Amino acid sequence: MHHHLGNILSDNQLVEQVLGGNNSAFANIVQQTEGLVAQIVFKMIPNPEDRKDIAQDIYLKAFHHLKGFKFQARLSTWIGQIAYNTCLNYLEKRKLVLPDNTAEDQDAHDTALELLSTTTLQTLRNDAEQTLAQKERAAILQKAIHRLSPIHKTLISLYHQEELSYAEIGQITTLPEGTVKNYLFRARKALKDDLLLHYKKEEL
Amino acid sequence: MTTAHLSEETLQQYVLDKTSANAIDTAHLQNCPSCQALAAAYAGLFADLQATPDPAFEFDLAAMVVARLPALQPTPTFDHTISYLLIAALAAIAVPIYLLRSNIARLFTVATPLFTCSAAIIITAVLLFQTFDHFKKYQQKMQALDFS
Repeated sequence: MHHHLGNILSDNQLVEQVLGGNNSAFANIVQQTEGLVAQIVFKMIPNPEDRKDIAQDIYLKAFHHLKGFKFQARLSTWIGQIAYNTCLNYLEKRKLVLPDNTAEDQDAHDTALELLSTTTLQTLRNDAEQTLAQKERAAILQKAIHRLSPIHKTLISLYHQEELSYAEIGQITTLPEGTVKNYLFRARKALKDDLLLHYKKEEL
Repeated sequence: MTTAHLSEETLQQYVLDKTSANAIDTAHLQNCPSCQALAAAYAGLFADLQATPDPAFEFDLAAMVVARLPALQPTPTFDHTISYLLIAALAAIAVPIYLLRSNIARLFTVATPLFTCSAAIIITAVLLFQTFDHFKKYQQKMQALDFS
């Protein structure tokens, strides 16, 4: 769980200091929002070497547009929005915005339903917990998350790790709240189906 | 008890917020092992997601960004001294004009029209020249400042 650092200086004060010529105040802004930006960048940018440049670009854009920031949202939300849009542009340029693999999702769901008919989910989970260590479960979950599309991965992180509300996620991604809920529902279901399939394979 | 199982969306929402389910859904959940198992699977998934370590950059991002920032010119604050000087200058012009208003009026009625026109043209030309000169100096100073 990402801990939102308590603001020693408020967003207002930090922005005023930066606009007054104090660049070290901007370093404070970077440190306070770096966790959120890392969640977005790590989930959306597949190439680790590109993450360094993109992370810097995000904050340089934020710096150049800081004069236009009118506190219509929290500063962290605004920077998160810049991060998301920057990553999205990167993916679109490289045609990496993967479409939803609805056909594959359906196959996984159908297989998961078959599993339900032959054994209960509770039995599967109990067996999985007995046979798999926590570390292995975490690794399996990471692989399952990796198979999601960049946007789904990001929404999962923003909701379950950053603990942002649907409204805040909607502000960052400029998606309607209903769409955020729908994407999250589909992503969670895909993860659950993926994990069930894996537990079943482990049993065999 | 309803025989239709709860939708996965309902189950997800229930796991996230148990107060979100209505009485019928809650009653079904209490009596349906399949839905209970599915809810447990989601609860486990959500717990595992929350326990996932946060990603972190392996470099000092703040230092790298600050090193690339241009030196900002502080936003100039309004200097009230200039206002006071302007008011003093206007007063220095307006007070004598007021005190000598009758003499000035006579000047324009007694003096020949030619003299009046010539004086007006010369004064206007001098003012225009000074304005243009000040503007050129201002432009040169702005170009000399480095904003890159």
